[in-house]
Amino acid sequence: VKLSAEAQLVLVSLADGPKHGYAITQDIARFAGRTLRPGTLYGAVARLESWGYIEALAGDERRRPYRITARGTKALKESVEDMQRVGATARRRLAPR
Amino acid sequence: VKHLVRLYPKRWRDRYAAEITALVQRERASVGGVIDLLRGAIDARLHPALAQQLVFVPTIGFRPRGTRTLLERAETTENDTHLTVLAVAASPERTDMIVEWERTADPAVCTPGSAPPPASAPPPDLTLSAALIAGATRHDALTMERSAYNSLGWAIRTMTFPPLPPATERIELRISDGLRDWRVPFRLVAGHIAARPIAVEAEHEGIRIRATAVAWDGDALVVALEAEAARSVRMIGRPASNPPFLPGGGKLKIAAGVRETGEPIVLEDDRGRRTEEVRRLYSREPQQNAPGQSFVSRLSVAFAAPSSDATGAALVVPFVEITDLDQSVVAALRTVPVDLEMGEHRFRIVSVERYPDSDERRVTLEIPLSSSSPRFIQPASVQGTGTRAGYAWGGGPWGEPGQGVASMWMSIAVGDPPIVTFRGAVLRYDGPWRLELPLS
Repeated sequence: VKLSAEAQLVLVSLADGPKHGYAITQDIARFAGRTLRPGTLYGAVARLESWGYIEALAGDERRRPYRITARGTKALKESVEDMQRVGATARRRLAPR
Repeated sequence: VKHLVRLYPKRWRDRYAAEITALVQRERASVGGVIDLLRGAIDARLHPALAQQLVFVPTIGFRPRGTRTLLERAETTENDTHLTVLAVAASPERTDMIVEWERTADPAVCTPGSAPPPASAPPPDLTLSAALIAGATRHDALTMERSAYNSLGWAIRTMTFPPLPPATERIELRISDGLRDWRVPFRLVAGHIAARPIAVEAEHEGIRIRATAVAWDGDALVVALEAEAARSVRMIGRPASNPPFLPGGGKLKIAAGVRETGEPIVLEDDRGRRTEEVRRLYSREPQQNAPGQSFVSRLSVAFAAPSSDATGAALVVPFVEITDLDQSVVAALRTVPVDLEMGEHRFRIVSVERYPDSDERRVTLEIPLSSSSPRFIQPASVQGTGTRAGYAWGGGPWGEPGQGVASMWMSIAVGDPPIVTFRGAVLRYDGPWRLELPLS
């Protein structure tokens, strides 16, 4: 499954511990400088849930917390490794010759 | 802006509307916010399956959304018996529960439902009653079935109860065998393993196999399957050798009847990875709802995770076994070998051994094996005239199709005269049935 940028951000946020929707948007704004609006956030949440990368925990239905699963952690690690490979290639090619 | 949430499809609203609305109310209204919700609603309508209608409950199976499950295992030790509630699925339609008994002390004390089995037949069921207490309401068990047991005082029971009140979180299981009582309090929470409904079907030789849902249980991909046929469905591919129930499997013995021949169900992903089924859960629902209707067997099959970059996978069912219940043949055991014909199907009794101090006989059969499809595999059951009902069987039938005969034994209590009736012909239909599953 290819992760979208929004799905990656949600996984990175939940890698730090369970959070509900608002806490996820605040966290992403802090570490990525990007604000995910509700429609975009829940598009990513629904996909991550259906792939088994995150799961909902018991709680108030307006502030339902989510946590990353072992499968989600593995997918995030693979995605980060992909980005690192691309980044390393980019740095190499941009380096002054 | 919050009214735009109404543009999402109903299933999506049922699942996420409260959360989205709570977030929208924290934002200042803006054109960007309107566009975001419009895009979200279009995305939701283009991908309706993303708003899951189902949850997966480990050791039980797929259930409707809104189903609640155990917060954690609940157990008690009373009356020399350790009793554990292993799994609960409290759905809006009914409540399913799996409970384990284990004798802890005096070997002379028989735990409920775990009387040592005789050599050939399941033990008689003890008279048990079970109820769930939710608040001030008592819900008596609708069904209770022993799914597995061994002679050491261990047993697994599956039970069903009426639906529980949705707001009640704390429940108590009460069990009584007339003399002794057991009480196990437990807590329910919302089922958290989301499952996605799918509709993929393959038809071959009049047998339809459907995949109806997928879920990720940890690292395993679980697929809900249905096989529909004009006659009773006996087996769908070779079951995984590890048993379907918790815990661990080390001490588990399945009641007589599980045979493992033929190929397993496999998953082939679009990155070239092939994995065999690792476990399955059978539905306890009857296959046929009314006479004349087709038979539908339901089960959940789990596989090790496909490749992480796979976008699709083919689930391949190699064979299906059907039981033709209209066939039967009566056999006298005095003179063997004897050739038998059950309709067009032939087999032979080659020997009959008497167990010491028992009216039980071990009847060894030889069955011609062919490579045609469908082909006769074995009689489905045998009935004696002895003091006990029930039978055991094993030892195959083994052998390669088209190469002679296979042999197996069936053991049964018989009376005088020694007569048995073989009922039902098991027919194997070769596949494959190939179901293309979307993974993304």
